[in-house]
Amino acid sequence: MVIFRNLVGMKKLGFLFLIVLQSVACTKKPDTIVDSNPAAKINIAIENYAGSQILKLNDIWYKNENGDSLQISVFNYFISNIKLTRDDGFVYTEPESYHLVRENNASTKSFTIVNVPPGNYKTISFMIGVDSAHNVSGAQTGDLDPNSGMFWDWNTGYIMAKLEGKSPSSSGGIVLYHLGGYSGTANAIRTVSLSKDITLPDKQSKTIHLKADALEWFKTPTTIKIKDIDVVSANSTKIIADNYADMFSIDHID
Amino acid sequence: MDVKAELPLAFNVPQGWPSPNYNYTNNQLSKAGFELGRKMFYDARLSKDNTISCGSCHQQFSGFAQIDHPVSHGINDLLGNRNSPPLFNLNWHTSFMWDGGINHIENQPIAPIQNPVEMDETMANVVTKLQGDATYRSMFKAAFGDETVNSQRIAKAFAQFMGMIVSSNAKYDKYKRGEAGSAFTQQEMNGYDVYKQNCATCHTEPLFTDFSFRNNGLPPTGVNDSGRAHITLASADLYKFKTPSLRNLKYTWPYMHDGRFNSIDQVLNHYTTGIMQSPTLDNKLSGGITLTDKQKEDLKAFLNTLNDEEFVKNTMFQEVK
Ligand code: HEC
Ligand code: HEC
Repeated sequence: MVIFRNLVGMKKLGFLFLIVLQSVACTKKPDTIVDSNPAAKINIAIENYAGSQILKLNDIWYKNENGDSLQISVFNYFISNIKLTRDDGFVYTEPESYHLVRENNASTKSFTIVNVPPGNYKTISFMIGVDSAHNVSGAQTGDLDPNSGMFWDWNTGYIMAKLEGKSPSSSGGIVLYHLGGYSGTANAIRTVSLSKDITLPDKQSKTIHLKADALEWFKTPTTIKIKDIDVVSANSTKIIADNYADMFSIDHID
Repeated sequence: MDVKAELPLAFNVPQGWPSPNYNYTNNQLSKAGFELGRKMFYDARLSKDNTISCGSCHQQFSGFAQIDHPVSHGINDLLGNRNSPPLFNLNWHTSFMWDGGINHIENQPIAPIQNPVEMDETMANVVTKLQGDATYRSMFKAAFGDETVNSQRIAKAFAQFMGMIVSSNAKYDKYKRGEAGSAFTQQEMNGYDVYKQNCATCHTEPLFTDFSFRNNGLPPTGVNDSGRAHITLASADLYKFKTPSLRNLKYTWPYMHDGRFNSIDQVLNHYTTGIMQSPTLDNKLSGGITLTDKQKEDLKAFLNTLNDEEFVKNTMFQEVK
């Protein structure tokens, strides 16, 4: 936190300095000022899958590991606290890093991280869910606005990830996996770390294409039978969260 | 960030009180923010059919509880399961609701707004309704620097109003501050001792609660409200409820999470003869409380010194018509 604040402070100083330069020289255009922050960009582009196929909400019957048929109608999750680690050990942390990804809204599936220092990156890590601090510090906004349907108002906290659908294996016909909880046994936050060489030259941008496989919720380490878990309770939260911890992979970088 | 146009209000911690849990570090108090919170608190448009406001269930003359209603009475005459608690000294609370399910004062308003038996509205619709109203837009601008209405600003304005509702001018407070004319009578003094011996572990001075969750031996009713265990799912928390304050009891009846008692006499009879033994009953109460008739009268005299007339009549908290 302290380091981060200092960085912000330094950035502000640099910015002021540039404004002074600009008013003296009057040659640079405003966008050059932004660009000359020593930084490149990383785009994150997410594609949700069901096994080997690109996920389509409703309409399509998928089979989970146990062989249960299901259709998926809602697939939402938070990605937060994105960190990029360079080969020299430097770690870039995205400020205010909260992204709500909703399968039914294409614009939520890609976003850009600006002001990333250039270099050779090795690892991207992030949380599935919202860190505990942002579950206990009052009203939030932006992607953390409680209006998203990803917030429990009677037992404060975010729904970290949500999968809804239907299945003939469920006694009520429905599949309702709402995973929430930020502490103790019902903690649905999982940290993901993915390795891939990403060479990021100065002032350029690279796109990390992430795959998220919804069917991973039903397998490894625990094969889920929908007849046993059609609605997630606090008791089954850990099992499903452990399963979705490995739903992400890097498809490619370009 | 946000520019505050209005003069800030001050949040004063009463002399001798602990520092509050919520102190506006990330929510700069202003007169405009407070007034916005107050307007929303009394505005029935925050409910689905525009009939119920926060003030319907939290009435100032009853210490912001709902007088004469054992359980809350909301939209379409639907009844809740629990008694509307009084609202005062909220900035000292460590959690909200009888079961403590809400962990922050700013996260409180969304719960009644979206509860189907209370206001049955969505926060998204409330944002739209307020954004469509020119008076609100200018109040949001005055409070937060521009006309944007969002759920966070709504929450912060509510916290400015609700948190400012402090009750610290009962006779007890004046006595503690050594103010003229506030000396305790002998009976009040005796009652203070009875309180210290029997009630203070849970209903701790100066807020008259330690905000802990305890089972005080009330026999469960047909509703079978599991209390704190509803949130933690731990059997050790069965039938535990957040200890309420003993301030302002004169105005806040009926009492307990389900409003089962209408008088202090009934409450005291519960503690002396009505306690139900159960695995989660608080140790302190396992043998019941023994009080003579005289001690009961003395205790009642002391509890009377905790009623704060200035607070229930404070025009600052009233609806502006
Ligand atoms: C239909 C009646 C009703 C309405 C309307 C209502 N409340 Fe409440 N309020 C209650 C009840 C009942 C509780 C206790 C609920 C529980 O413990 O589950 C409560 C609890 C609270 C608490 C927690 C107090 C404590 O000691 O923990 C606060 C704060 C509060 N309400 C504020 C509000 C605000 C702000 C609004 C309007 C946005 C509002 N209420 C609207 C009935 C109501
Ligand atoms: C072991 C802790 C404990 C002790 C000791 C205790 N109480 Fe309580 N008291 C509670 C709890 C917990 C509640 C809320 C119970 C509920 O609603 O389920 C409560 C509720 C009350 C209420 C209702 C307040 C309201 O707003 O509804 C009154 C009045 C009260 N107690 C008075 C007393 C008095 C007087 C004494 C001493 C003779 C006492 N209590 C001793 C824990 C305690």
